[in-house]
Amino acid sequence: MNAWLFLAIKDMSKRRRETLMVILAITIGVVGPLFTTALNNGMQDAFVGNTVNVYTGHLQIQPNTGDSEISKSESVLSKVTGIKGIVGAAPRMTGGVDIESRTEKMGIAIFGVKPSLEEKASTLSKTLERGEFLDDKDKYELLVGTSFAEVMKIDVGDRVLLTYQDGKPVEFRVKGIISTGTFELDRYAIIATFDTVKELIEKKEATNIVIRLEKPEESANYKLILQKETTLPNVKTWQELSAGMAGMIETFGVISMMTSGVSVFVAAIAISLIIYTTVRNKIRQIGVLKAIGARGEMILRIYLAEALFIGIIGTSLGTIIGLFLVHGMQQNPLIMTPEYGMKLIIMPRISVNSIMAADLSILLTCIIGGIYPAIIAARTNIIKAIWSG
Amino acid sequence: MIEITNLKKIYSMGKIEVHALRGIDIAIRRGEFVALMGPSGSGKSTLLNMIGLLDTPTSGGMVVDGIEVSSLDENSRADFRLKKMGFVFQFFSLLMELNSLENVALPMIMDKRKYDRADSLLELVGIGDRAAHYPSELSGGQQQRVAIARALANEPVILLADEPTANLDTESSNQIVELFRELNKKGQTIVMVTHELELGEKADRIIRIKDGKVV
Repeated sequence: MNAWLFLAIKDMSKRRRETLMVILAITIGVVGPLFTTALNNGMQDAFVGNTVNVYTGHLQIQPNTGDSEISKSESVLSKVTGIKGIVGAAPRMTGGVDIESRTEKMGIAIFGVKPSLEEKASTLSKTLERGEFLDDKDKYELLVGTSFAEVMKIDVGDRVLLTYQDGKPVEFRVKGIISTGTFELDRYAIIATFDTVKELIEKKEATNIVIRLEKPEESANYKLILQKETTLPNVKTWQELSAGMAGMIETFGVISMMTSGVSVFVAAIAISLIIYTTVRNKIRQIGVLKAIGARGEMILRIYLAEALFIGIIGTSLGTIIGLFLVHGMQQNPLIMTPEYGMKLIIMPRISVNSIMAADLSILLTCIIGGIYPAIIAARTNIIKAIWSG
Repeated sequence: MIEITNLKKIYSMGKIEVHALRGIDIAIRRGEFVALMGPSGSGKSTLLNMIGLLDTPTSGGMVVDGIEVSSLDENSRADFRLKKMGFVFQFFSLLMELNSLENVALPMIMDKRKYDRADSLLELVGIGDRAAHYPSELSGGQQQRVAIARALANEPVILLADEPTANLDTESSNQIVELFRELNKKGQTIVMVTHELELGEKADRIIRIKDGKVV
């Protein structure tokens, strides 16, 4: 065994308590960034993911500027459906109505959907909480979000009256209650079949077409393809449509990374302090070591090896504990209810790249933290060191 | 073995220069046991540090074991100390985290040698039964014996001892000096700094230093 490694191991085993304390500090320093990153990813998945999956789609074709409908939307839809890499596309129609239950009355947005097309274009059909999902042939049947159902004090089977502008009230039956995890559909809209809404709000064409891609990350490429195929300029990617929310979560992520940075900094200070204190306390021994023939580089290696060893153990432990926590929370996800009845399931997620980035940055911090005291030790003047202490 | 010519050492303390050695000329033969004696501040420890390559002279020549050592760079000096010098200090200079055997083996590990001699060196200095003991479990005299065994680890051409008995009781002091005598009888060159005449007289020759000069 090399002398520097032998001495580093002996030194650490002699100072077991201090070594363990620093390892603990680094472990916490690793768990922090790992867990907050995983939690942030989970929040992003919950907020953005839900919105994209049920509301915006991976791509959305919108009416030309100044129009309220997509002209020849049926033809556009058939062109879109034939493009390779598009899993599904569904037209939607949006308008505003008044809704009246036995006890409540208010204005609300109404979405008209084609249930059979939504099966492939979104995950809307999978969000049913109770009752039944819509069928293409349904008329005067409604899907209501959990939160809005609470507000209106209605449930499956109840009847409500919908009025469009100054028209006659039309009776609808609540067929199902959905929980999409989005404010837009759980609280601020109701859903009926496309033809029903068409008839109710007196529109002719779809107000938007939502599209689901096989590879969502290629949305920008498909945007160009769709613009070319449909000659419609207003094609929006899910990143554009959810930019506000994504930006907010990204900001939260930056703040949590900065907080994690503090714990990494504390770990570096801890490692630097313990090695510096060791060097100060062992200055005479370092002098003796040099006197009996240790080169400066050997002394440097002893303390760098200690910093690296502590860093590796702390980082490994932190990674294991961090992953254990993430796994534990995946089994028991955090369920948030930002609105009455609305459910957001936060399932933490972390990528191998993020783990490696966190681990490497902590390890690097440990080495940097160990360098200064190690250099002091290596440059120690023998005579001064021997006569100190 | 050691030839020193016109060796000077000047320490600068701000604007003040302290002449620790003012032109030393000495020669020590192989196998000799020499005591460097003198009052406090006379320069005897400074001279020992120069011979042991722990410090660099301001000027002058110094040949040790046929090598002009005053111009060696730092790494070569460290290697020279490891392979050719053995040190015994006034204080107990063992590494606290190593037991006796490991302390003795350390220079051999540093020199990438086999360290099976460590046991016999502890036997040689009379504490073979303390191999597994840590410094904190040994008396001052025993610690100094371990330090001597460590100094002999790489079969040094010169054993340098700086006041090796200063922190020991009389009995332990006598045992240490007796050990030096035995080692010297086996051919070990020893240079020992002491201010105790009784100990110095046990050496083959006394070199007296005063005000940085040999007197």
